[in-house]
Amino acid sequence: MFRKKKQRVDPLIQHLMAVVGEKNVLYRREDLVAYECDGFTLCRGEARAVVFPANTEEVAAVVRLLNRENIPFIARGAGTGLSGGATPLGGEVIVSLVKMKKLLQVDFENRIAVVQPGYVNLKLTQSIAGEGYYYAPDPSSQSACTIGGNVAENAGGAHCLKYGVTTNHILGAEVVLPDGKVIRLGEDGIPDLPGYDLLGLLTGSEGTLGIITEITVRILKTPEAKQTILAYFDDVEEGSQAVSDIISAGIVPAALEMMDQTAIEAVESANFPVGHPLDVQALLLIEVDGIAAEVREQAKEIVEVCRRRNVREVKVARDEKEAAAWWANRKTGFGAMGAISPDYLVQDGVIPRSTLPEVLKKIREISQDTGLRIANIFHAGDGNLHPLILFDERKPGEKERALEAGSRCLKVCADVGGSITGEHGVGIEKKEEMRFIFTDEEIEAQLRIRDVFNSKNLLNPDKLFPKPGRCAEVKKEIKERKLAEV
Amino acid sequence: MSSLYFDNILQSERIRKRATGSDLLGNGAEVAVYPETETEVAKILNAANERDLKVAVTGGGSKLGFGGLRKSYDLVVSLKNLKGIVEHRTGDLTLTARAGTPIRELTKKLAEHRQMLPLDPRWPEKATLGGVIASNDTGPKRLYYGAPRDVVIGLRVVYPDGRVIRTGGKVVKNVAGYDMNKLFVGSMGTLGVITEVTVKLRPLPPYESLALAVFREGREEAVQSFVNTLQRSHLEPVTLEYLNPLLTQRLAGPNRYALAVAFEGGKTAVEEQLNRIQKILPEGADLEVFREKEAKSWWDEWSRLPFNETASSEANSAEVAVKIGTHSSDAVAVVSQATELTAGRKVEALAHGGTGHGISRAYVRGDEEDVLDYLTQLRAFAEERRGYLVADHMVYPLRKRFDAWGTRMVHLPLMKGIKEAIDPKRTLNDQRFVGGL
Repeated sequence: MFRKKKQRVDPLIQHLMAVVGEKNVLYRREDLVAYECDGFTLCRGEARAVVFPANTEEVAAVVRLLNRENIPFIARGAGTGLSGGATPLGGEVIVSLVKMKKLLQVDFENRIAVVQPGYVNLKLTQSIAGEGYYYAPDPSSQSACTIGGNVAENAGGAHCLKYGVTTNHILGAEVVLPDGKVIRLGEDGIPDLPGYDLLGLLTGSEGTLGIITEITVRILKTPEAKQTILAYFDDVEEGSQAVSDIISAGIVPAALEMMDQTAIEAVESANFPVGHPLDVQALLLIEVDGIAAEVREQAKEIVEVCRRRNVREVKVARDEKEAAAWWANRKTGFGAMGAISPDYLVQDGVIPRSTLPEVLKKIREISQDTGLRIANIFHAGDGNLHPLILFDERKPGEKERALEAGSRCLKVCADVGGSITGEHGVGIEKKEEMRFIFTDEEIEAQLRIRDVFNSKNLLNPDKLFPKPGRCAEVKKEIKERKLAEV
Repeated sequence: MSSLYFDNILQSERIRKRATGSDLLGNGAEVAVYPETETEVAKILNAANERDLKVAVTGGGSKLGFGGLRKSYDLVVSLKNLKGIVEHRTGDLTLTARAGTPIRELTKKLAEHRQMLPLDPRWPEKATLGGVIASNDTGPKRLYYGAPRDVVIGLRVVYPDGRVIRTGGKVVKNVAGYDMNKLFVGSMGTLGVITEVTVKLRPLPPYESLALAVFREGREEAVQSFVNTLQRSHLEPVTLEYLNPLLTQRLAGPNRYALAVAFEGGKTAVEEQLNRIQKILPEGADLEVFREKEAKSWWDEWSRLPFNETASSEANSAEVAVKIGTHSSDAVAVVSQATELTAGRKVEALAHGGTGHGISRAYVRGDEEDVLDYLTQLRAFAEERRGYLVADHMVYPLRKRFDAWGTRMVHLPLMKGIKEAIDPKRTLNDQRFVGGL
C-alpha cells in the first residue's frame, strides 16, 4: 500500500524531497491552495510544488535541479506582495524562504545587520530598539512581510520621505543565480566595491534575477525626538497646498501622509478608529524627527503652515500613545476598506506631488464613469498615491470594471509625468501598464539585462514585462514549458 | 582616423583635432567632438559604432587620470557643451539637467530657491553632473546625504549604437521595471553616454557649522572611541571625517590628527549640537568651530584638494589620488596607515577617512618608485580588512604598472555579461573600468 502510493508521486517531488527532506515539500493539491496567489488576490494559479529550504546550500541545490530539468520556479517570502509577483501562473515550483528567518549578525559600530531573507521586517527593529537603533523601511505589512521580499520589491513605506526606500538601506547580499551558482554582492557593507551596481539592480527586480539568501542592511540610530501632527482640511486643494508649503519651508518630515474622505470613512469603520471627523475632505498625518529642539520648532511651523491653509483643526500628538493610535489607524488603511466594501483593489501610482489636485479630480471622474467608489491614501510627501477601488466581486462585471478603473488611474499618473508603481511592483498586475511609461525599446533593454542573469527565463517567468515581449521568446517559452511538462 | 566622418553631423568648429586630454593622463584621442544635443550624441555614437571606432567620453575633464588602459581612443565625445537645466520642479524637489552642466552652476542656481543638490564631489567648478554620476564621486557629506545612487531618480542614456533609453523617471519613488539607473551610476561610461540626469533635491540647510576636534595625540583607540560615542549619541552629524596631520595643517593650522564633524540644519539644532559635542570631547582634544561662511569656505578648499591635472614635469616624481573602501570602523586605521607608510619613503600624503561611511582617500606625492611601493602596501592593508583601493588619479604610464582598480570587485562574469549585452563591440570607454571592462 505504502509503496504503491509513493510510486504515484511525481519524480520531481522525490528529487526535491531528497534535497530538502520529505517534510519540506508540499505537493498535494489541498496543500498548494494557500500558494495560489499573494496579496494580489485577483489572479490565481497552481504551483507544482512548494519547497522550504533551510539554508543557502539547499536553495542552490533546488535551483540547480530545477534549472537542469527546465522547470520554472518562484521565490516567495510571506506572500504579502500586492502585485502578484509571487503568484504562480501554472506549474512553477515555489521556493519558500520562510524557514530561513534568522537574524545572523548585528554590528552597531558599523551600523549594519545581516539577516536571512525570511526574517520579518518589524522583528529587526524590535530586536535592536533596546540599543537605540531601528531599520527604516516600514511597509504597512511590516509585521508580516520579510526582508527578502522587501528587497525583491524594493519596498517602501510611510517613512521613506526622509530616509529613502529599501534600496537605500541594502548594503550586501548573497544571491543564488538562476543556474544555481552562489555569489556575494556588496561584501557585507563595504561601500562602492568597484564594478556595476548589481546589488542596486537586483533590488526591486521582483525575483526575476536571482534568489537572495542573505542580506546586509543599514540600521539607523533612533532619533532623539519625534512629533506627530494631525490636520483636517475641508478642501483637498488646501490640504495638498499645505503639503507643498511644508516642503517649501525647508522641512523634510519623516512621514507625510494624506487620506481623503472615503479613506477616512473606512479607517473609522474598521478596527482602529481614532475619532476622525467623517465630513472632512482630507487629513494629513505628519511626523517630524531629529534633535529635540529642532523637532519642536518644526512641529510649530507645520501647525502654522496648516493654519495659513484654512485647516479646520490641527493638533500635535500629546504623547507616544496617541501618535501610535493615529499611525495604527493609518497603517491598517488598506485592510480597513473591508469594513465598507466587500472587495477592494489597491493601486500604486506616483505623481509629482504638485499635480495632486489635478490627479484627484481625474480619479473622481474615473469613479463616476465606472460607478465604483475610490478611496485615496497618499504618501503625500513623495507623491505615492494609493487609489483603493471598492467593488463587489459577486456582482457580475464589477471585478473587471475595478481592474479597468485601476488601470485608468495609473494612466492618469503616467500622463502627469509619474510612474505606475511606487512600491508595490509590477508583478502580474501592471505588466501591460509598463507601456504607459516605457517604449518597446526601453522594455527590450530591460529584457536584455534579465537575459544576462536569467537566460532561460525559468526564474519567475511572465512577470514584470508586457506580453508579447518578444515573439520568439514567447514561442520558445511555450515550447519549453510543454517539454518540461512531458 | 579622419574627422570627416562627423562633418555631416556637427559643424566643423565643434570638431577639434587633439583637443582634449594630455598624453600623460591618457583617455584622449586625435579627434574630439562637442555635441550640443542628445540627437547629435546619438548620431555620433551610431556612426562611430558602425565604423568600429573606440570612443572615450568626457565632461569637464577632471577625471582623465581615473582608470583606463588605453593611451588613446579613436574619438573623444566631450559633453562640455551639452549643458543647462532642463526642468527644475521646485515644489517637487526634483531637477533635470543635461549631463555636461558643471556642479557649481547647479548649486548656485538651486541656492536661489533655497534648495541644494545633496552631493559634495571634488572640483565642483569643473566636474559635471554626468561625470560625477558616471564615476560615482562622493565627498564626506555622503554620511548624511547619501551617494549618487541614492540621489539619481532618472537618466537619459545614449546606448553605444545610438539608441536613446530612459531609465527611472521624474518622481522620487518608482519601482516600475528594473532599477536601470543603478547600472549607469558609477559605470565609468562603459555602458552608455548619460545625456540627462534627474535628481532628488533637498532644502538648503539654513545654517551650518564645522566642529574640528584636534587630537594632541592621534591614538587610534582614543579616536575610535570618540567616534563611537558620537555615533551612539543622538547627534546628527553630516560628516565624521578623520584627517591626518598634514591635511589638518593644510586646512586649519596644527599638524595633528583631527575629526571634522559638520552640522547642518536649523540654527537652534546646530548650536545645540555644538554645545553637546563640546561636552563629550575627550581629554587631549581641542575643539575649533567654524560657522556659516567660514565653514563653507573650509569645504570649498576641501573640494580643491584632490589632484586632477598632470603631475609636475619633474622626472621620476608622481602624484596619485586614491580611494579606499572599508568598513567604516576601519577608516581611522586606514588614515593612520596612509600616514605612517610615508615614513622611510620619499612620499608625502594628505589623507582622510569617513569614519561613518567607510570611504577614505589619500593624495600622495613623491618619488615615483616610492609612491608605487606605498600604494602597494596601502592596498594590501585595505584588502586585509576586506576592503579595496582604487587609484582615481594617476598618469597613464603608472596605470600600466599599478592596476588602478585592483582585483577586488563585483562579480566579474555578470559584469562582463552586462557589458556584452549593451556594448558588444566595446565602443564606449574600452578598458576604462575594473576587470578590463
